[in-house]
Amino acid sequence: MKPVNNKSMIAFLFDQMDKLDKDEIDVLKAKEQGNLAKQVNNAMKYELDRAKTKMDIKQHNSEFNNNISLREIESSNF
Amino acid sequence: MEITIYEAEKQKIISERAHSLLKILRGNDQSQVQEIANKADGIVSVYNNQNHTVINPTQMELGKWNTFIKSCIKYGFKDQLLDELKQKYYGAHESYYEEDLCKHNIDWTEFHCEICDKERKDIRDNSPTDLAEKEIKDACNNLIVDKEIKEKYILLLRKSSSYNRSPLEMAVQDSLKVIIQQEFFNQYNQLITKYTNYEASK
Repeated sequence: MKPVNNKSMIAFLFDQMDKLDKDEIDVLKAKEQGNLAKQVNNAMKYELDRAKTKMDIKQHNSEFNNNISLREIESSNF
Repeated sequence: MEITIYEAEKQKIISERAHSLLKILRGNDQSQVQEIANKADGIVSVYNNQNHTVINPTQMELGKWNTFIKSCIKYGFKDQLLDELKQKYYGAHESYYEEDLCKHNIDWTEFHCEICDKERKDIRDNSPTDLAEKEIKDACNNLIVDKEIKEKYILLLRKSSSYNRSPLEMAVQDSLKVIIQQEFFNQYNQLITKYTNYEASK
């Protein structure tokens, strides 16, 4: 799997738009790629939400002297 | 022919100068300068197409970019922060309006209590929401975003109308939105923390 960040995805999408203009790909394929890119965006938004939540938890822990942590589901081995 | 960024930037400056000269020139000079401007514009346009970028944004496009940044922050952070702030602040200060009698035992549904009116005005005047709004607005204006991202947004503006975007164009717009929100979060997380953890005192 190729690593992706926002910038590389934007470059890829513009490339696809160019291909669509030149009729190198059909509308259906472009639509599907657009939908897939939306899913990637959702994953990136999730990262942002996670960062916000972590910040809130940190503040909460320092205020109330608690030790709540956000589970690291992504890094656990299955 | 592959055009380099240096050549494109040079042609951009030539085009800008030529267009400003065109405002004052007449006759033969005007047509000559027009020709130079068209040639420079052509080279810049070829460079833009080759590299999927826009190196010559107009003032209107820059304005739309600034509006886009503000809208990303509005829906990503500002609205939520201000709503919570209002709830905390007014919740801490105006609870006594729920009673029929005000703090000074005057039935406020029938009479005006001048002291309460003054207090209410003070509460409104000292509300932290105006300050928060101003600070967020300043933060949006001073947000440092990669030039490439700005150019991509302007390219998107040129390629499509904002009313009828294809899924690919929508995906690009969403990606740009996420980048701007991430940048704002990274650069101004102290500001976000400050208002998230605001404690209203009575």
